[in-house]
Amino acid sequence: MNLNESNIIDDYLMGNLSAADRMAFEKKMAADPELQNEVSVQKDIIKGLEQVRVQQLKARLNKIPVSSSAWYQTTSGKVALGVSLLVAILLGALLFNLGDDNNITSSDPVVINDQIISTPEEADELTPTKEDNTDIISEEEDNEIPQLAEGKEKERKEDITQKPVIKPEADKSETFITEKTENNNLVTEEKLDSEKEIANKVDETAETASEASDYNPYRLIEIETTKGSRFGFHYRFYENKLSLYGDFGGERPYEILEINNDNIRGLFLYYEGQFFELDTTQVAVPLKPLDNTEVVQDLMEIKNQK
Amino acid sequence: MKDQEILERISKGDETALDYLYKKYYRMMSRIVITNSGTEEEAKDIYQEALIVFWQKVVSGNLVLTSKISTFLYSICLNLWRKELDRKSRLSREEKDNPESMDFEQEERLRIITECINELGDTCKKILTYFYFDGMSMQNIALNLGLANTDTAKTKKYKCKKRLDELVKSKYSAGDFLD
Repeated sequence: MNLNESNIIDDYLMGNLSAADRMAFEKKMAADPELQNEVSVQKDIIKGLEQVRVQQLKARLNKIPVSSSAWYQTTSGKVALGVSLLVAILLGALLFNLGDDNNITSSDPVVINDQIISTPEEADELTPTKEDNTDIISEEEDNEIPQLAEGKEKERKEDITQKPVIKPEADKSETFITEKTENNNLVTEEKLDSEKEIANKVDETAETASEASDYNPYRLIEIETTKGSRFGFHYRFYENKLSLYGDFGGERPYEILEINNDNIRGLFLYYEGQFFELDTTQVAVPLKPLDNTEVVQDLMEIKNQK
Repeated sequence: MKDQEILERISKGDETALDYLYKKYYRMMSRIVITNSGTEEEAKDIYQEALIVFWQKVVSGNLVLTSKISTFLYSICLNLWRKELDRKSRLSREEKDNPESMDFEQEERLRIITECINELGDTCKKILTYFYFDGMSMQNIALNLGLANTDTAKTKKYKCKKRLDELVKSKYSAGDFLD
């Protein structure tokens, strides 16, 4: 077979011949069994090459770590190493008055007010992006999206500053405290002392968020604690809202850490000397202390670095 | 990286741009499958196939993209997953009548050819897969493999192909596939 012929076979098999040339070639092939044979061998060879290449590319992609269940970002390799820490220290001690409104003093971190009865719609408003939406936004790195979202964020910011952060439930035996913090993959630490400060802090974080909207613009996490009888020591993660159930009273604050480094990824709760992993995909889960000492040590280190 | 830059890099055969793209849209695309009764493993598979289709189209210069890359990938994933679901349901229906009748001879031929391809040197393997699968231009092949010019690439490709043909034919006749 000469060079010319093999080129024509290639072109024929790769669909590069014009309709007229193709018909001419097929006519020639019909009368030439040897050519038929050659074409069928070449067809197999091209198929084999394709298969080898597809496997090679797949093997390449398989080496790249990805996960669809986690909600942190690993966008570009450079940023992935960064430790993302969201620390919201909530002074739990004074938050649970169990319907005893007289307990509230001016030093209370958050004022509990039972005149405002929140509706589910209101809660939705405070979490404007549904999970899916947030996903798409955080996946996008194109500039248009963060800009768009920046607008949204400003609205959201206003929401937060204007609306009381507390949402007592109609049922007075349960008290809900809701705080909002924003995380922009920056190392943030927030100690919230008064409602006003919450608003200020949120403002600040939001500003840094729009500045560094390189990727993963922000994530809104709503934390809600409930001292109720329905669950013991439980948590629930739903539509970007974290609800904690159980007795978080006493003098000690609890902390929420969002961590994204080489060894540890995920959301953790620190309370009374123990770390708990928060699975953001489950419904209501009892809290169990982590027992992997290595992870606990790492977490302790990160926590103390703040 | 913007779409334009990704496209430029891929069209030159830059595989790191493919890695980047893979990570960037992994969650968005795997969701299509996972939320439509697929497993994570299937999601990964479908997304990888979609990306490879995209890669091939861009490298060979057969794609005029009028939408965003993400939109395009999304529609490929959706189509591939529909096909896969279709295939699955057909398979379960046919299973009762004809137990799998795989073309054994075809499989065997492909196995032999893969063996032959793997016997080639690395450069030959690259040139041939770039040319026959990626549809890469001779100019870009020369660029990617550090060859002096397009003519060098052409000559090299011709020699590699000849070597592969010979290998395959010698094994074919040993395996009695040719009369």
